[in-house]
Amino acid sequence: MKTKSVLISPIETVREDTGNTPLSLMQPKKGGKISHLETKNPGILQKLMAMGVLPGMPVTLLRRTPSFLFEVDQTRYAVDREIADHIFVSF
Amino acid sequence: MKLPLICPKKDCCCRNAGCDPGTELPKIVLVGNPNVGKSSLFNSLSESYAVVSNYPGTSVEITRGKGRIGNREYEIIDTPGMYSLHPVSEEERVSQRMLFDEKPYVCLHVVDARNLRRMLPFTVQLLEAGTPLILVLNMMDEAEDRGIEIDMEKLSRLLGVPVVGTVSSEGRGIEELKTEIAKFSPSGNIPEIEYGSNIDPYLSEIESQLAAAKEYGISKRAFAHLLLQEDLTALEKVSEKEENGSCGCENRSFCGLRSIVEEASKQADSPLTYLITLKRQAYVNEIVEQVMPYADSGKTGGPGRRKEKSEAAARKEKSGVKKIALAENIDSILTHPVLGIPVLFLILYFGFYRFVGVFAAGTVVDFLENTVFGTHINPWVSAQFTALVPYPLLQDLFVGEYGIITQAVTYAIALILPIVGAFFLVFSIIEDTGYLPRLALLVDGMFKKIGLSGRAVIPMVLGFGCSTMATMVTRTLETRREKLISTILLALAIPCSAQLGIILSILSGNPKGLLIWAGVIILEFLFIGYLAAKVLPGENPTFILELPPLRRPGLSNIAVKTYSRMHWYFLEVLPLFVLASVLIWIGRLTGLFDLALKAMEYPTQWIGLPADAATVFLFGFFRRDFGAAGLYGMHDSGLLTGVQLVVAAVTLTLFMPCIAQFMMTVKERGLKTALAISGFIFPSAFLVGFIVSTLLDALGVVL
Repeated sequence: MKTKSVLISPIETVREDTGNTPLSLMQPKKGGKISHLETKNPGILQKLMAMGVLPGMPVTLLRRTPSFLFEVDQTRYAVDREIADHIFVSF
Repeated sequence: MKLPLICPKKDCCCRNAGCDPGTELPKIVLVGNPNVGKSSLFNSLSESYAVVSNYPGTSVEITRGKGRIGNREYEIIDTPGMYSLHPVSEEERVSQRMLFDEKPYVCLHVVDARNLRRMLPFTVQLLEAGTPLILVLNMMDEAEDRGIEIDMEKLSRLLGVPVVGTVSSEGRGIEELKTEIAKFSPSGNIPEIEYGSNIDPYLSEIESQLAAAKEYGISKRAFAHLLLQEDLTALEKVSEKEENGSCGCENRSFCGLRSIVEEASKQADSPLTYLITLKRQAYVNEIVEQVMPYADSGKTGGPGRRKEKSEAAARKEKSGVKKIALAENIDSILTHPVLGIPVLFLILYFGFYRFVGVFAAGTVVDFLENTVFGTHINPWVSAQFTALVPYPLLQDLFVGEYGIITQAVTYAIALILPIVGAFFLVFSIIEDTGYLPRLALLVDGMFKKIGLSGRAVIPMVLGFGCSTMATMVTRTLETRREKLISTILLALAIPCSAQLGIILSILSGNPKGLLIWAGVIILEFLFIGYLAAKVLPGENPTFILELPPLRRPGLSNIAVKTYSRMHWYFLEVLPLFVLASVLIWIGRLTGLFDLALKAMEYPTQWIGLPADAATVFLFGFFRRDFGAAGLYGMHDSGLLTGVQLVVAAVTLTLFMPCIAQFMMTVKERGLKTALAISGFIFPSAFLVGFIVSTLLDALGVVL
């Protein structure tokens, strides 16, 4: 079982001051732009990119429970916490 | 309404002689992201039918059909959805290989018009691969509802390929598309994208080392891209060539290629896939800005910008806003962590219990079985047959207790058909609204505890229709572990529609019994899932799913889908039921039937049922729904007490998968796994039956 500290690599720590936070820590109904994706897990990275979740895209978090529900452009995605930890958003 | 050809020519049957749709026909291949309407378009272009639903991953197999466009005949090929040329999952790879190996006359890249920015990178990839392409912007109506306008002429000019806007569910734009197909000639236009110093030099180097482009089915540059991203299919292709030993230097070149890839990855600070995708997206963004000047206006633009839109578009958008707002409201209830649960129970109660269990399996079946067949058809046929054929032996085969007409045909038409029909109807409606992905989101947390992601809820729910179909759909799950756990659970605890309908109907007069039955099955489902997740090695799957918009189901699609599934089910079930009648007839002649019955009587009595109930389980070996039909017969004649009914229902639900499901499990998971699953299920079903019976007995429960 991975803990969160492993998922957030040292290079890409949460930088609250610049507003660069993982999607999993965002408040619902809040919008921003995807700044980058955590690249340490190639499987998740490839999946996210293929599905169109890419840096530069506007993103709005709609729900945190029962799963993370967010909107990029005109598409909605449901993901679990582990994936939401991989998406970083700036405001 | 045009009734479809029921058995679209799947790849599997096309190897048989006479079933070949003609290899020399020019091929039209439909590709694109999941849930953009490929199958729907396939249905409008070909004479065959592919199932259309509103969730990603409806098509898990390649479907082929023939279609006439202009005065030429084409082979039309529908593929499972894929997100890019560099696939992640198994069913995407099926489509990828298809693109590599078939030489299409034209490839229709079907995209969701709402999401050009997200869809075009794949178009660009296809162009880079040198695929002859027509871009189809589907779901134009939904794009218009959102106030999205696309300059298709300009898009066509920028990409150098024909662009057609369609609404495949309504048939809009199909004629235009057909015209484009008829006059199509490949442009050979290949977009030139600069991928930067981390990529480009390595691409060229790989390209120069590759053999002639033809061998790979796609352009060398695209193939180099795939190699650089360490795509499995591309690597396989290269090493395949090496094994064939078609050229002496191949071996070295493969190693050479690998070392280039390694070198490139070392130089870059991020994964190569990441860098390549970002560059391609930047290229697409430029195009999108030119063809969709209002791209962001729906959300961020001020009222001033809106004025620039054409009046017609503005009107459409206005009515669209209302539609979208309604869908949003419903959506927020369906996905609500608290409100979502009662909604689920309402759907289960009205859709399945009231409609399928009480109405179809109760009222309709009762009428068909007892009135139509019981008092009219069967006595008449029996009388006629007995008069015509004076041989008791043959009389027994056709109109005896287990006769072909009196049992097999009666069961199939009067019992199974109305139940599965009602089931598939409810299913089709649920599938077409887009509820299933919402359900996946709702249960993800709970499913993680049994080693599955929320996505697995789709095959599980489909399993209530037909577990055989559902076992095939487990392909859409990502890890082998997840596929295995869901296959086990499908075989073990998910009753199929006919079985479930009959059980609901038998227990409908007995709410407490129904609750006990449901409770035991759910407990077993969770318990075995939990155990499997503990025992099987590997990590828990991650969950990511695209939620399609909620849609109002179209009447014609529901009718066609329900009809085609009923037809398919009936054709599958009837021969097997007839075969069962024949086998029983032979068995009774030789005494084997009685022997088997005697053997089954032991476990039957062990779980507290009368010896007569052994036939139910003997039937159940053949098919679960056949066993359930037998149980219905026993219940009808009032042979079982309330407690015994519950015990029998539990045991039968957990009983062996049918032959078709077993074969599908062999196909998807291998013979060893299939045998292991079955070997576990038989004793465990009786064990649970025994526990329930003993517990109910000890507690003195009377139902």
